[in-house]
Amino acid sequence: MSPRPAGQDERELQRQEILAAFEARARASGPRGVVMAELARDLGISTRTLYQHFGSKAEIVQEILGRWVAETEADRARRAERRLSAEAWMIDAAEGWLQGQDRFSAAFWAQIQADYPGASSLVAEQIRKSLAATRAFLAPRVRSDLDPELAILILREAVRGALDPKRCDRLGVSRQVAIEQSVELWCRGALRPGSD
Amino acid sequence: MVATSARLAPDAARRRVRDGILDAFSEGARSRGPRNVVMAELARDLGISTRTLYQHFPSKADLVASLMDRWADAVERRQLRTMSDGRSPYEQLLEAASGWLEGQCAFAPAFWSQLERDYPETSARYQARLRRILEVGRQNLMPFIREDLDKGLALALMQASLRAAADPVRCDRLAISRQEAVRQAIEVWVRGTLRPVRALHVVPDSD
Repeated sequence: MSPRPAGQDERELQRQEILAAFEARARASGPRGVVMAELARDLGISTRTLYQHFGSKAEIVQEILGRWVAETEADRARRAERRLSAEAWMIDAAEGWLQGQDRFSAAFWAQIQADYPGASSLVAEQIRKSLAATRAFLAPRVRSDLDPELAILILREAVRGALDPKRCDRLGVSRQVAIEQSVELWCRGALRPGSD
Repeated sequence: MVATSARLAPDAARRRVRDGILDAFSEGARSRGPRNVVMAELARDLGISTRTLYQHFPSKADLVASLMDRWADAVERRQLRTMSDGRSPYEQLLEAASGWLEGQCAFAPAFWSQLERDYPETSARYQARLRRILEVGRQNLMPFIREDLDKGLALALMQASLRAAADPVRCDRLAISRQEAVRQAIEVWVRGTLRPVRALHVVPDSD
């Protein structure tokens, strides 16, 4: 690590604080509900300082979601290293999505899609990559008498259902249990015996 | 029609005319929706007077109600038959799913939307009958589901995966027929959810 002047460290620290405070405010009601002047006041900095770090709200949103993407990527790399069984791999992946889903509200995601095309395409690209990785991992393990694309479609439907809070409430199961059982059921039904 | 009916008992003749009217109505209503079937044209095509038509069915609503009753009767009969002739749960599911697919093809979307909007009572009664049929099917499968699974979740999963597999747009993209997609979805579910095959030969309620 190269030594950095103290001023730069402080600057970086301040930047982190702004990001964390913004995320905490935006998590439930979305970025639209965060007023920059209030954010600055609560952090004890001037709006001018705030805007020196980030030129716009969109820049903050972009960075927050950029980090989220990086974390998801790191999770994926860790999963690949751990050489998990297909079932454990999928449960791990689905639980990662569950965490992502709970981290931000539906309103948050809706606003991202409507107001922040840059961040929105970042997220869309990440979802596309995750799905492609899932497909590449699972397709060779699907039993040969099944259409692999169809089998994966059924899995997606199962996981989507398991992540749906309303559905889980109706069935009286936790999302965790719903994910585990749905994935286990699918593995047993769709994968070659003994495929890890 | 008058010549043949003269040789039949009056009840049987009446019944035949009635069935003929229902068949013809069903033909038009399924594809164009009940609203777009004109009663006078229906009578003309059948070679009967509108008066005779209205003697059998006082209104179009009566025709629609009879049509839906007849359809639900057929679904129910099919279920009873497959449940009573000793087929495996897999075969029973296949049979039920193919009946459901036939129903999807037999009625145009316009039919269902008109039914719901213009004949809410008939629509509600039909939906209630279908729910009962579905519930009988679910209860019938229950004893075969592995003990370590949440049965409600497993059944919900089956319905979701059948719906996904029967989607025409997806099937086109995958270049697979809906029948085949539904069959594969059932196979995945049966293999993953039900007890091992040998357990299916013992009385399922024994434990």
